Amino acid sequence: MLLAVLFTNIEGNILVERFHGVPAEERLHWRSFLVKLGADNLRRAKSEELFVATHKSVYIVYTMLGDVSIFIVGKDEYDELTLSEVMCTIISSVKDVCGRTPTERLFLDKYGKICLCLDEIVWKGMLENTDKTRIRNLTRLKPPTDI
Amino acid sequence: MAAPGHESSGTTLMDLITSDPATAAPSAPIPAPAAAPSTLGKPATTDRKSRRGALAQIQTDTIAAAAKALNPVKVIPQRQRKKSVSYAQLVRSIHELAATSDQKSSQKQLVLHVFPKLAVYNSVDPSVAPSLLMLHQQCEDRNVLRYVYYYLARILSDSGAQGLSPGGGIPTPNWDALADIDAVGGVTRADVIPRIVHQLTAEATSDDVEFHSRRLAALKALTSASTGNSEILEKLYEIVFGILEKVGDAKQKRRRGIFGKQGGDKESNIRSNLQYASLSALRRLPLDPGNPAFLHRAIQGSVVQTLMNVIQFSDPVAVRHALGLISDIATKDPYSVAMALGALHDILHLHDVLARVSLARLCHTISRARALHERPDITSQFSSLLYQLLLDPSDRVCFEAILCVLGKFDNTERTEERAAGWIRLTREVLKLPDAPSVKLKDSDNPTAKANIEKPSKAKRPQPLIKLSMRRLESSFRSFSRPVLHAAARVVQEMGKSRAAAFALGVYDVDEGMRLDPVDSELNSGSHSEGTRKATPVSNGAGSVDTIASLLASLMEVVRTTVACECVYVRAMVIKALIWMQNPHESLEELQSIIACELSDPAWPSALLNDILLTLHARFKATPDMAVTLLEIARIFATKVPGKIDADVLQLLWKLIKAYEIPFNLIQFSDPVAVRHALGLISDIATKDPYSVAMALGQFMSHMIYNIYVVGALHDILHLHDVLARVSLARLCHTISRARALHERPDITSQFSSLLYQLLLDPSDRVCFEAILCVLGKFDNTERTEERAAGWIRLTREVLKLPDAPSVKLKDSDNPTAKANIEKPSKAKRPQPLIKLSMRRLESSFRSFSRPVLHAAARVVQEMGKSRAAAFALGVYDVDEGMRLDPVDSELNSGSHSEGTRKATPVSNGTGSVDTIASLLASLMEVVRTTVACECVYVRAMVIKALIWMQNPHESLEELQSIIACELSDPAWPSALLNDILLTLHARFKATPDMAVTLLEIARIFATKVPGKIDADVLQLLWKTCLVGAGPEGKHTALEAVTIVLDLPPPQPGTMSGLASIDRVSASDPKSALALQRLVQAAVWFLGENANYAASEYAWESATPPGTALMMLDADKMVAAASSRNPTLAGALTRLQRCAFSGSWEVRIIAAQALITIAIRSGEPYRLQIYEFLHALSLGGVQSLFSQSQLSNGEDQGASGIGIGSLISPMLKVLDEMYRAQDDLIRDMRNHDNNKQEWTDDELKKLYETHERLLDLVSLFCFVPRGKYLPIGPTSDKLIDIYRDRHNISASSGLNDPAVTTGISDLVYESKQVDVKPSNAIDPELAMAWAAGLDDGMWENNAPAMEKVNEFLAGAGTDAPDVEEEENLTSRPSVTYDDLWAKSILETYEAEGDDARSSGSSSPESTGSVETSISSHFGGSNYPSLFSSRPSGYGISQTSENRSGTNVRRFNNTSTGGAGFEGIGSPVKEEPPSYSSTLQRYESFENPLAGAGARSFVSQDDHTSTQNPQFGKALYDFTAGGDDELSLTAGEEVEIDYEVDGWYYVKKKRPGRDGRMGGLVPVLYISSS
Repeated sequence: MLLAVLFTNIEGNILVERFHGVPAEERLHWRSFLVKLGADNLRRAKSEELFVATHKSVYIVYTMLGDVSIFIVGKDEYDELTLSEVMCTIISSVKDVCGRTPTERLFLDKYGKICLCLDEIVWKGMLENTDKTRIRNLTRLKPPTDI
Repeated sequence: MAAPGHESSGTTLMDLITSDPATAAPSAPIPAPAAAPSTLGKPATTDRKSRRGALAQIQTDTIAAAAKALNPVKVIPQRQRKKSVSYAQLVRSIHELAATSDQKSSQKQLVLHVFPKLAVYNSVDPSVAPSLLMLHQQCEDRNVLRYVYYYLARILSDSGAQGLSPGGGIPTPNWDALADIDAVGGVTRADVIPRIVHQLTAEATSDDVEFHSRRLAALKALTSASTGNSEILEKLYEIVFGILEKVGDAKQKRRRGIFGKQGGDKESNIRSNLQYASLSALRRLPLDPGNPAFLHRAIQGSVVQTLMNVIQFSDPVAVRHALGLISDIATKDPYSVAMALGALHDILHLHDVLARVSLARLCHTISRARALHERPDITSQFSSLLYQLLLDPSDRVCFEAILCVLGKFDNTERTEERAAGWIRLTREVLKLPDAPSVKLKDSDNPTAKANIEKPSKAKRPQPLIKLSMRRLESSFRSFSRPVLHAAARVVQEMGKSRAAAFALGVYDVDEGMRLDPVDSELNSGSHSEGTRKATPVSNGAGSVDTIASLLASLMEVVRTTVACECVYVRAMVIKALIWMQNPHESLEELQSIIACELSDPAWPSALLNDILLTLHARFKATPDMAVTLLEIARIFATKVPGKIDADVLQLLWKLIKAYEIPFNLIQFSDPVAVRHALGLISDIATKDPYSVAMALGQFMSHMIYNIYVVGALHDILHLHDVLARVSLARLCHTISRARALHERPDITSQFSSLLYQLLLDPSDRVCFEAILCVLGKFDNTERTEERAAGWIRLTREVLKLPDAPSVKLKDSDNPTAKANIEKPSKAKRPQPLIKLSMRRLESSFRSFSRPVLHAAARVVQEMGKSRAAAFALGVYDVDEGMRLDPVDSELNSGSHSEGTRKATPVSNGTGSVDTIASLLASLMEVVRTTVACECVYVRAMVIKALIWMQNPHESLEELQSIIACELSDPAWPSALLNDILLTLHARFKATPDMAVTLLEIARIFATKVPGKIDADVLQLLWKTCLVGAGPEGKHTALEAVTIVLDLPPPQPGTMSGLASIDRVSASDPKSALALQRLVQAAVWFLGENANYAASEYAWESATPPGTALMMLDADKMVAAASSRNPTLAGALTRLQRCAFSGSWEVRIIAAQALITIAIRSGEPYRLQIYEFLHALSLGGVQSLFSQSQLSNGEDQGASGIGIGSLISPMLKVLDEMYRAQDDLIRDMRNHDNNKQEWTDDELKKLYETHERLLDLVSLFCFVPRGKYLPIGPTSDKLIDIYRDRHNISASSGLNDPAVTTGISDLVYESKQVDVKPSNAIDPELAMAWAAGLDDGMWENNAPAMEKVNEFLAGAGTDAPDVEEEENLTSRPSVTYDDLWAKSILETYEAEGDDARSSGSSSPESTGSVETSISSHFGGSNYPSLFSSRPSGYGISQTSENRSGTNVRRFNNTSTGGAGFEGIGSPVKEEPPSYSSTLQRYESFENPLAGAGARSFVSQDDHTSTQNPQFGKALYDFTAGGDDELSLTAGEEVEIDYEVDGWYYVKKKRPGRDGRMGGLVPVLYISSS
C-alpha cells in the first residue's frame, strides 16, 4: 500500500498530500515526521537524489526536486525500491508538467495539473500508470492508448 | 504539519497562486470570529439578506485561515495583476461559469484559473457538485471535463469524520457557511452523492465510442466512492464485469472486422482501454475471493470467450447448411437414418462431389451415434464407408472424410470427440483387420492390403493416416490455392484433434486412451517416414518434427508456386503448424518460419490477427503451451507491431484470465493491467491456493519448462513490470507453501522452482522479494516454524533442486540440465539458492543507491531472523531431522561461502556465518565509503542485520567493534539507537542463549551514547536478559548490567569533567544527565533484581536472620557473605560504593536499592547493609568524612552523602525488625523458662507487630506477604497459631492500612505504634508446630488471592463467588505495582520535589514503557522465569504453589511490570520457605535456644511434606561436574526428579560450594 505522497516546500509547508490507509489521527504524526526528515537531510541534497528512511515496517523514500520536497511512504510491496520507482514517475511527470525542474512558484502555478497527474500515478493507494505519455493522455481526458 | 500558527506576513499559498501578495496582506489580520475554518458548525448568525456580508466574511475567513495554516512563503514577487481569490469566489465562479459553459471563454477561464486554484484547497465541498454535474453534462472541453471528474472523485471519495478528505494545501473554509451564501443553497454530501453516482454510472455503462475516454474517467471517478456503500459497490461490480465480458466477446466482432476490413484497430484499442480501466477499477474494489459473484463472473466470462473462439474455423456456409440439415436428422434419429442408408449407399458412386461429402458426414454421424451402439454391424458398415471415402478422387470428399474421422464434424468442438478422432485416424491401422477391415476386405482398393494384421505394418502400417498423408501431400503440391488452403486446414484440424488427444491423455482418460497418443506418436513417426519416401529429404526424427518439417517443406512449395503469393494459404499453413506444434518440442523451427513469414510485408493485419486468434485457440486446447504460444505471439508483436491488433493481444491475455488470469503475464497486454492481474491472483491465492494452483498448474509447468529452455523468466513472461514479478513471487510462495496442496507435490515443486527462478531476476526488488519469500517472511505475521523452514529451504534447497525440478528439466536438452545431476553437481553448484542470494546481496551492497543498500541490509536481517528461528527450533522441540538440517545448512553455507569466495579474491575457510558476517563487514566498508555512508538509516539496518546474523556461539568482538565504532558517530538519532536496542531485545527472544552477548552489546550503547538511548528501553533489555539468562547466566547478566556502575560516575556540578571520562559522548551536559539517569536506572535495577540474580531471599534463606547476630565482626561478615553468595556480595559492594560516591540522585536510589536488598535478603546481608546504612546515617563512612559524628543527614551538600533523612526511615524499619526479633527471642525464652503458655493476647500482640512490620516493609519494596517474616523465622509458628485461631488468612493481614488508608496515614500509623514484645511460648504449642500445623491454609488462600488480584487488575468486577471469600478479611492484597508505586512515591515525597525530578528514569516509567514497548513485540511473551526453568525442577512443592499461583496472578494481571517478574517469579522458583520448613521440624524441643547452628541442624534433619519426595544421603558424594551436587552422608535432600540413574536433588541450604541443587547418583540417596 502506498500510504502517502507528500509534497512540501523548502520551509516544510505541505503543498500536496495524498494519504491512503492512514488513519486520520496518524496523519499528523506522519506529516511532522516527514517534514522533520526533510529538514534534517534535504538541506544540501542534490536535486532528485533519493533518500531513504524507515519507520517500523513502513518505508519512506524522499527527494528534493528543485524547491519542492517529495516524500513517499509505503509498506508491504511498496518497499524502498518500488517507492523509488514511484518517485521516478512522479518526478518525471512533475517535470513534464512544469517544463523543467520546478521552483515553488512554478509548482504552484501548475498545481492543478500536478494534482491531475498525481491522480493518474497514484490511484487509491496503488501505483497506476508509469508511462509518461499515458499519464499525459489521461490528464487530458484522452484514452491511455491513442485510438 | 505545515507548522500552523506561525507568524504570517500575509503571503499565503493562495496568494502565490493568485499572485498578488500585497492585496492579501491587509485582509489577513482581520479577525474572523464567527466561523473559524476548523469548526464545521453553522455560523451563529447567517442572515440571508446580508449575503454580501457573509461572503466577505467567509472570504476573510479563508484568507485568515490560509495565513494561519501556512508559513509565509518567500517567493520572488510576481508580476501578475490578479487579485487574491477566495474559496467562496472560486465556488461562485464555478457556478456562474457552469451556467454559461457553452461559451468558450468561460471554459477557458475554468481550465486556466478556477479549477487549478480550487485544487489548492484541501477539500471540495458538496455544494460545488451541482455545478460540476452541470458541466459534466453540457461541457465538451476535455480539459474542463477532466477537472470535473477530478473534483467529483474528490467529493465522492471516502471522507473523514468531517466529510473532509484533506489533500494538502489550504484548509477549505466552512462549507455550511458557504452553502448559505451560495446560489444553490445548502447542499450536503448526502444530497449530492447519489446524483453524482447516478450520472457517472450512466456514463460508465454507455457503450458509445464517442464518449469512450469519458467512460474511462467516469469509471475511475466512481471508484473513489466509499467502498463501504454496498449499493455503489454493487453498481461498480456490475459495470466492471459488464465491460470485461463485453471485451471478452470481442472476438466475434473482430472477426467481422477482419473480413469486413474496416480496421479493427480503433475498436480493439477501445477495448483494450476499457479492459485497462475496468481491471484497474476492479483492483481498487474490495476484492473478496470468496465473493461468488466475482468468481462466477470470471468463470462465466471465460467460458463465453472460449465458445466464441471456436467459431472461427467454421467453413463455407452452404455446405454446412446442407450438412447441418442431414446431421440434424441423423443426430436426432440416427437409427432411422441408418436404416435408410441403403438408399444413400448409391451416393458413393455418384459423381456428385457434394453428395459424397454429405455422405461422409452422414456416415460419420451414424457411425458415432449412441443409439446404434447395440448394432455394431451397422456402425461398422458406415465407418468402413467413411474410410472408403478417403480414396475418393475428389479432394473435397477426401478431406471431409478425414475431418469426419478426426471428429471434426460440426463446430461443436468436443475434446473427447476430437481425441477419439485422432486415435481413430492413427489407430485404425491396427484395428482395421479386426473390425473395419471386414468391410474393407471386400473392397478391392489397394488399401485393403494394408489391413493385414501385423505383417502389414512393415509395408503399410497405418492405412488411414497414410492415406490421409499421401493425399494431403499430393494436395500440397497442387497449384490450386483452394486445395492448398484446404489441405492446410485439414492439417490444422489434425493438429486440433491431436492436441485434444494429448490434453485428454494428460488428464483423466483411461489408460488405453492415454497410451494411444503415444502410439500415435510412434505411428506418426513411421507415417512421416512413409511421407519421406515421397520427399527427397529423409531424416529419422520424431513424428512431430517430421510433420513440422513436412509442413516446412510444404511452405517452400507454397513459396515457389503461385500460391506463394497468397498469404491466406500461408496463414492457414502457419495455423496448421501452430496446431501441429507439439508442446514438448522445440518451437524454434516454427518460430523461424513465422519470423520469416512475418518479414513479408504482404501480410494483411487481419490475417495476422487471425493467426493470433489461432494461438488463442491453441492455448485453450493445450494450456501447457501458453508460454510457447506467447513466445510466438511475441514475434508478431515485435515483427509486425503495426499490423496486429492490440485488442487481439488483449484477447489472448484475456483468455488467460479465464484460466485465472496468469496469462495476463503476457507481454503484449497492458503492463499495468498485468501487474494488477497478478496482484489479484496472488491475493486470491492466499485465501484459496488450491483452485489458483489448479488453474495455473499446467500453465506453470510449461512456463518452467520454457524458462529452462529459453532463458530468463521475464523474457518469457514479458513481465517487464517489476511489481508484477513481485506479485508473481508472492504468488509462487503462497502456492508452494499452501497446505491444501500438500498432496500435490508436483504442483508445489513447480511453483517453488519458479520462485527460485525469480532469484535470478534482474530487478533487485524482485530478487529480494523472492529471497524473503523463500525465507518465510511473507507478511507481517512472524511464525517461527515458518521462518525456520524458510531458512532450511534457503540453505538446503540446493540438494533438493535436482529432485523435483530436474524431472521437468531432464527432457530438456539445455545446459542447465547438467547441473541437476544429483550429487556430482555439488562440486560445481552445491547450494544454488543460498549462493544465488548471497551473490546477489553482495552485489547489491556495492550499489550506490541508498534504497538498494537499505533493502539489501533488510533482507540480510530477515535472513538472520529465519536463521535464528531455525536454530531455536532445532535446539528445542522439533524433530531430529529438523534439527540436523540447520547443521547441514551450516555446512552447506560453509561450502557455499567458499563458492562465493571464488567470485571474490579473498578466500578464507571460515564457517558460513563468519563469512556472512565478514561479508557484511566488508559491505559495511563499502557503505562507509559511498554516499550512503551519510545515511544512518542504512547503517542502522546494516547493524540490525549484523545483530540478527550474529551466531550465539561465535565471537561477538567484530560486531562489538563495529557497533562501538558506529556509535562514536554523533549523527545517530536516538530513535534509531533505541530501535537497535529493541532489535537486540527481539534477537534475545529468538535466541535466549545470547543473553550475555546481547547484554554486552547493550552495554556498548549504554557507555557510548548514554544521552541518546532510552533508559527504559535499556532496562527492559536488561530485565529480559536477566530473566532469560537462566540460573547459570544470571550472575553474568547482572555483571554485564552493572558494568555501568563500574565506570567513573559523573560528578555533580562538574559536567565538564565528564569529558575526561572515557565516554566521548557524555561531553555535553545533556548526555551527562542522561548518563546519570542510566546509572540511576542501573542502580535501581541492581537493587531490584540482585536478590533474584543471587537466588537469595530472606524467606528462603537457610540462615535465619537471628543467626547473624552472632557475627558482629564486620569483616567476617563480609567474608562470609561473599563466600556464600558472590553475586549478591558483588552487587552490595557496588551499591555501597554508589551510595556514598555517586551523585546525589544516584545515592538516593542506591540507598533505596540497599534497603530493598536488606529487606529481601537473609543474614548476613541484612546486617551488613544495616551496618552500612547506619554508618551512612551517621554522616558517611568514617574514613572518608571527618565530621562523622554529625548525625541524621543534616549535612547535605558536597561533603556529606546527604541522604540521611532518606536513610533514617529505612534504618528505623530495620531497627524495628531487629528489635522485634530480639523481643521475640526474649519472650520465647521467658515463656520457655517459666513453662508458660502464650496467651492469646500475647499472640495477638506478636501478630500485630508482624503485620505492622510487614506493612512497613512493604513501603520500601515488594515482599511476598504470605511468606515474609519480619520478626524472623521463629515467629512463624506463633503467628500461624494465632492466625489459625482467629481464622486469618496469611496473605491478607489483620487489617491493611495500605489499602484502606492513604500512604501518609500508613506512615504515621506505623511510626506511632510501639514495639510490644510477646511474652512466652507454649511448649504444647511448640509440639503442635512440630506435628506440622495446617499446611493447607495457603492453598485455601490462594484462590482468594487470585480473585483479589483479578479484581485489582480489572479482570472482572462482578463477584459471583463471594461466598468463597469468606475467609478473606477486609484486606485485599495489594499488587506489586501498587505497593511499589506507593513506596517509591512515599520516599520521594520525603525527599522533596527535586528528588522526584531526578527519578525520571526510575522504575515508575518502566511500567509505561513496557506497555508501550509491548506493542513492538506483538505482545508475545518472552521466556519468563516459568518457562526458563528445567521442567523437572519446577515439579515443585505445595508450598511453592501457594504463592506460586499468586505470583502467577501478579504476572498476568500486571502490565508485565519490569520490576515484578524479577521479584515475583523467584518466589515460585525457590520453594522452601520458612513456613514449610519449620512446620516440619521433627523435634522442636527448644526453639528458644535460637542458636543458628542448631536451627541449621534441625532444619537439615527434618523431612519435608507430602508431594515432594525427600531423601537422605547415604554416603558422602563429591560433585564431579558442574551439574552435580556434593553431599555429606546423612544430609536431608529433596528429590525433584530422576534422570538416568541420577536424582536431581535440592538441599535445604547451600553447601560449602554454595550450591543448592544438582544431580546425585540414585544409589547415594535413600528416598523416604
